[in-house]
Amino acid sequence: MTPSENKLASLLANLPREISPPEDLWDRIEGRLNAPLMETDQKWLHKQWPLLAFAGVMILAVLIGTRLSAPTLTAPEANLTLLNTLASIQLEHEKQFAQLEQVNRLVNWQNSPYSSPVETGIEQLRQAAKQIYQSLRQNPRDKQLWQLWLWTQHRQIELLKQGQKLPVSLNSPGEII
Amino acid sequence: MSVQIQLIEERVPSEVELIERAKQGDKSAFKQIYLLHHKRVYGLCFRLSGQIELAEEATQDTFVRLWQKLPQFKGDSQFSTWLHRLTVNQALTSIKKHKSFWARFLPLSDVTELGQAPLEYELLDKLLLKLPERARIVFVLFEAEGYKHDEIANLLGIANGTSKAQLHRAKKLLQEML
Repeated sequence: MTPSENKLASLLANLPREISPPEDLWDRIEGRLNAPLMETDQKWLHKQWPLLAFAGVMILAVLIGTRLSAPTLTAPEANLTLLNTLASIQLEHEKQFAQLEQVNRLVNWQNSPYSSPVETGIEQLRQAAKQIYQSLRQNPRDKQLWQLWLWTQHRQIELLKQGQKLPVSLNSPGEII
Repeated sequence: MSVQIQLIEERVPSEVELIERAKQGDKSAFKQIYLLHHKRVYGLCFRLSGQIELAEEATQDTFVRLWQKLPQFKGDSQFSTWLHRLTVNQALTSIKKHKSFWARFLPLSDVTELGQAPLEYELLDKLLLKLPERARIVFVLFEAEGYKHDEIANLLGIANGTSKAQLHRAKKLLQEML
């Protein structure tokens, strides 16, 4: 055995099994214990989406307000990559959104009596996404903002697709006989 | 008589009792389980993830998962062994989740952030953080936790030979650092 092999073996033999975390994690764990399981909660989520979307937009507004007041970060090389990615994802999303909107115009889903809350939801999400995008351009390494931004885009597309499935009112002016 | 009653009242419940109570939804019992095992869980998460922040996240995830899965524990194996397996699986999931998020947007070289261990940590723990992720995980599981190569290969979804090669690489790098 070489001296370095000996030393490594000795360090391994004396390695303690336990390490104390720098801070107590119990409070954070306890706070999560009552959260419902993701797998069993899909139906509830589906029913409550307008409320969740509104709550999400409110949280975003507060979060963005806080972020915007923070000092702007300088952009090193990694940030440049992220900024470019950010721009290309935004472009792709806008393309997809425009395509779906065109389909929606063709099927005339706005004549559905249920279309208004969907349209309002989409508009709120778009406004929030716009603000997050601006904030992300200043803090491209903010993981939470990225997640929120991607979520708002995902929800916009989902809502547009749901809108296509809404029943069209028979008394609407655009009715096809 | 009163001394006897006091002694009965102050008796520390066994781990089996705590587990049974926690299964019924008793959070104070679950907290006792946390206090008994959190240092072991955190140590494992820290060595596998190589980052304090990620280790804290994985530790939290492990205990939340434990709370959810506890009713499935039938006592067929040692609780500590069962929790150990749960921790390794959860830590690997957390590492994967964390990495895949940034990997979607950044080149791989930017994704791997070098962790830093507090000064009081053991020398080996500080050196482990300097190892490449895969080599570190294999080294920790094999050398520190006593896993076999086929078990590691199964956990990480790699070939048996790859696990051996990563272990060799990790040892070589660590010996160079010493």
